[in-house]
Amino acid sequence: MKCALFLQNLDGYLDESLSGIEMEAMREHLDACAECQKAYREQKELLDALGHLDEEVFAPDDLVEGAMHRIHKERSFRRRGPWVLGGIAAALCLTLGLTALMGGMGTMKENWSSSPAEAPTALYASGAGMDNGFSADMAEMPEPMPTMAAEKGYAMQAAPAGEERASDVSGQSEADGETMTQGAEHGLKIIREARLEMQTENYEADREALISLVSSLGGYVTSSEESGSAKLMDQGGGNRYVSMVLRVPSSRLDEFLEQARAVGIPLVSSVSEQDVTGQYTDTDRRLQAYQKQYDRVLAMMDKTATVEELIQIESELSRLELLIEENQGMLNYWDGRVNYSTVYVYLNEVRRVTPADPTLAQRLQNALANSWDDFKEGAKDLLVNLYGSIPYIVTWVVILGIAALAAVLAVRRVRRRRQEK
Amino acid sequence: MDTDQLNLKRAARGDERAFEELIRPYTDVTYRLCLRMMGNEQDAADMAQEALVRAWRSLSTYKGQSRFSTWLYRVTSNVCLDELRKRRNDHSESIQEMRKSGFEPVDPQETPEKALDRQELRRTLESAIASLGPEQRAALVLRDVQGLPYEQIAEILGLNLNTVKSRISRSRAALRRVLEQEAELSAKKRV
Repeated sequence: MKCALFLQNLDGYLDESLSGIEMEAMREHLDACAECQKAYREQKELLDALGHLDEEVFAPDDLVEGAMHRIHKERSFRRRGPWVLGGIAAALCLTLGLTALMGGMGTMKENWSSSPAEAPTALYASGAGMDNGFSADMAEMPEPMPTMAAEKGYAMQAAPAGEERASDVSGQSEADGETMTQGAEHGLKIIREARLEMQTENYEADREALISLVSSLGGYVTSSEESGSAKLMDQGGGNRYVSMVLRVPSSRLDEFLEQARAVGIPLVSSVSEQDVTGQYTDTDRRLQAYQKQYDRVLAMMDKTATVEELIQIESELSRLELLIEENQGMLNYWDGRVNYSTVYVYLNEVRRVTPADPTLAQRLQNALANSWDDFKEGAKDLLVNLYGSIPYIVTWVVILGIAALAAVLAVRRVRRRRQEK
Repeated sequence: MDTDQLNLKRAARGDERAFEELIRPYTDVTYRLCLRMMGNEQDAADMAQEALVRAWRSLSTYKGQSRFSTWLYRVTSNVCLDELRKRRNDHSESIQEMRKSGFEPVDPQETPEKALDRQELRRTLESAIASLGPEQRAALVLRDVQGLPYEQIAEILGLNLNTVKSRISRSRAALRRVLEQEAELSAKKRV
């Protein structure tokens, strides 16, 4: 095999997509040719590096939420769209028709300039229709989601056999065989997280109720993000929602959930558990081992004779300090997670709440109620658009009236002259 | 029927929650593809969102002729390619053009001998990928960064298998050239 052919087939060789014979020929050439070995190595390194490029790249947290928000808005607009567009079209037709009529009669041609100006106003009105439509069909939210534990893929982490790992890392033989007692010593370390999605018709009151509930149980709000607008409430539909991240003492998590569920209408409520006892015990053992090692090295310091030894000991001590800090930090982190549960709360304002598991009759009722609401909103939008067109309509009516009057007078005058003749 | 299929059916009937569940497992790969295509995080987030919204809109055109992931990749790469083509027509500056005018996206730090650390290698690779043409970039990213088989890439990009293979092979060669240039450049700077 020639080098040129080898290089030509190199990609196929790396992909292992060549035939058996070709692969064999490539291998033979590779063994024999140092030049091609270099090319092979470089290409392989490049491909390896590319393959690992995105290992630590993750989508931003709000990607899905952002997309779903847009989708939801679009849909709401589509449903009410015909009405809104109808309103715009009606207003435009009226104006254009009248303008054309006037233009045809040769009077006040400059008024043409007023019709393009109509479009932005009408579109603006439709924009408002779109916004307040946002939450309209939140009310027909489908079945509740399966529990978060399954969705997030929380594997229930069984406590791994602590012995091997701990002794591997620390190299301390005296630590062996203590896992069971230590596990018992710390108790089970279980991280519990909860997720609660709720609908509400009394947005502000319920939000406050949740916040005061958290603090009354000794928890706190770590973040709270609100969206939507209250202004649109009077137009028939609230569209506000808040997503909060709360920390609640784990011992009172159940209490919190029970009371929180009574605040709004829960759609989804789930609790996930992750057992970190194994990792916790391992880390704790590692920590203790490092601490023992640290004490021993520290004791050696008194017996050192030379500066070199002293420097060596210093560096060993600072290495151990770092490890101790790391492991202690890990334990603190887990303690925090275990003692305080994280609760993700999502409260959505709706005009009408839907039961979590609607029956067919309820669904039918909701569907009708929602489309009636959409119909009313659409009709209102149409009315608003027509109302907005009143200045134009009045103007044209006056102009038409004057023109008609002028025409009638002109015709009469012509008739009178004829009669006079 | 697996959950994907079930969610697909529901989503096609207008169930937003089902759609959300359907796409959630694919958000990372969607974002990664966008990141490599667009070259920066802001654009990547915008395009990934656009891709998901467009997937929703055109869900009715998905008839199960390919795997859902393939179809979503296809929507995503089209979104990115459309945007990149639009930008090219807008005569906005691409990295390639900026590079021609002396701009150096990677700052070749003074590193001792061959010790390119991971971070630097990553940056070098990123800018090298960004310097490829959009079509070449799409094929290379799907194959070498995302690790998809050639057949699936052909489906995603709507090309035949041989075109995909040769395009990827050409992209790799182009990438190597850019990397070599970069290495020479930093070697010169060090002298």
